[in-house]
Amino acid sequence: MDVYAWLLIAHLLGTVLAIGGATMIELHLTQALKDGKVSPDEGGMLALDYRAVRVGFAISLLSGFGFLLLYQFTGQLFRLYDPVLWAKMFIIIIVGVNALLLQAHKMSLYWGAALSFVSWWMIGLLGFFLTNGVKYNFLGDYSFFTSFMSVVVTFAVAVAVGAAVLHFIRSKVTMKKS
Amino acid sequence: MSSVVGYGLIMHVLLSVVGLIASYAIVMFLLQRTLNLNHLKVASIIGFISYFLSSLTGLYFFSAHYLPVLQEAMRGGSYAWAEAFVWVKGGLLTLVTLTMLFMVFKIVRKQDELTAGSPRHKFLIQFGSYTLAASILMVLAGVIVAGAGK
Repeated sequence: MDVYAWLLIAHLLGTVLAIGGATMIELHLTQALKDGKVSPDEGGMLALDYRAVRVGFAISLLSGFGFLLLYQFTGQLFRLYDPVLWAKMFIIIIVGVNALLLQAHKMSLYWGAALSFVSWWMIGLLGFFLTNGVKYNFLGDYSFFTSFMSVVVTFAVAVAVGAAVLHFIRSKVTMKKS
Repeated sequence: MSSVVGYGLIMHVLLSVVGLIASYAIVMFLLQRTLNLNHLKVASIIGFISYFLSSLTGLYFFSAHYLPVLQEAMRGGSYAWAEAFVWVKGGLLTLVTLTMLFMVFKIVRKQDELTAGSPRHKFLIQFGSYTLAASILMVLAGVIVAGAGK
């Protein structure tokens, strides 16, 4: 197998761990908050989910930069200036900062959970766009800025909708229990 | 690009990303309710060594490939402004290496005073956050300059 195949496997592994972990966090959190408090067992399960996301994050980051190096060596430099790639990196930074703010208890569960959940699925979707060369733009003539902003606007709307939907589901589950 | 310079570039990028992950881990560990000094020490030492070696490999790439080949190509290429990022990146890498060394020093020295909520702890959280922000900028600047010589 060539370097590209190894990088692809590592990147997919990292992404699957991170997206899967973020999804399991949401499911376990909703389950745990049914009775309004997180028991030690439930806390242990959530800690495992967080660890899976962190490991996935680190693997994705290293293999992602491996791809950038590969583009450098194979002369595919135009890929480094793809607005979707920069939007993806912007969202990765948001994910990282969100995790730090959640750890510092400076971020509410309403926004923090939605940011984590939606961001990871968005990162997966943007990875698909990058692999298949999809040009995403709805803000007029195509340019780096309009394409980048199109992704960011879509992301912001997705987070707002995601936060409302996740809150609705949590409320329903809590109400059913009480 | 010769294979030695190519390996130099690979090491430079990977060490920078490992340093970035270590910087992130330091802030994450500092924000935990109960501080684990061993984790903090290991992460800060890994961060410092990574940034230090990344500086050396970056310096090698700079002198072996950038100055004789890339500089002219960058000035005459489509992204002439990106040359400024080379200097920004070099400056940030030096800054991050030195601040990380200071952080190792602060964590290892007088460990008893490093309790959650103490002034030393708050200072390290702020200092670690600035280091992390500088690391992110450095890595992004590296991506910008990577293809600027075409």
